[in-house]
Amino acid sequence: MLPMMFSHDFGDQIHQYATFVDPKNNRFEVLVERNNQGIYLTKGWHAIRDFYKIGLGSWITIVFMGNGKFDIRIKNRFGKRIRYPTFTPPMEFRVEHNVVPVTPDWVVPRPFIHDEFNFQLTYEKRLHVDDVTSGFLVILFFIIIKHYLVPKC
Amino acid sequence: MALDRENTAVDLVDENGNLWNCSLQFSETPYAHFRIGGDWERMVPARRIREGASVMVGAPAVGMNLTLYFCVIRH
Repeated sequence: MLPMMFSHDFGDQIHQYATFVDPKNNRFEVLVERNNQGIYLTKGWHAIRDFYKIGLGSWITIVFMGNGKFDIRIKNRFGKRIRYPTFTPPMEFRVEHNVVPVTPDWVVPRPFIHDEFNFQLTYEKRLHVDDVTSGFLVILFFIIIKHYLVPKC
Repeated sequence: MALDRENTAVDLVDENGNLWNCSLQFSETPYAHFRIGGDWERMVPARRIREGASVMVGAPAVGMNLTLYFCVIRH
């Protein structure tokens, strides 16, 4: 949640999605939800936690650059600056735009979790070395057919 | 899952809500299988996905699955 003071001053400059950019130009798109208490960052926010492997007690400095964009700097729980992963080109995390939750003014928005409806049919695979080195995830065709015909209850 | 052999693209949505635009190839050699590529190659290092981890791919029971949902289960 962004502080109320910030929401009052700059809330009108932040739209449905905000972008967070680290010093290595890795970018994170995050869904912005609002209620009558302020601005909440929901879908896509957990990607920042996972990408930098940070946990409870870590520090993130967010600098508003205008036009829905924020620069970020991260320190671990001991105040030591973390290493920012380098990718060429820089990593870009985008969020799915098709499903946007509707939050009433009096409800606190919830962090993103998968909808159970989207897991009526499931397929689980333990990744082989080729799946993580070749650039391709291989899914066996007969398993897909089997799961299609026999939905998981 | 109703992946179509004629489709050449599929979107993956991970447990953080991130969207990955992947390519989809069907092949019958040496056995019938789909190959999901494109953004999968970027997702593996971005999410530190390693050999031995499991992925669960999900889809609604109805309709064509142009979008699949997935979770990484680390061991």
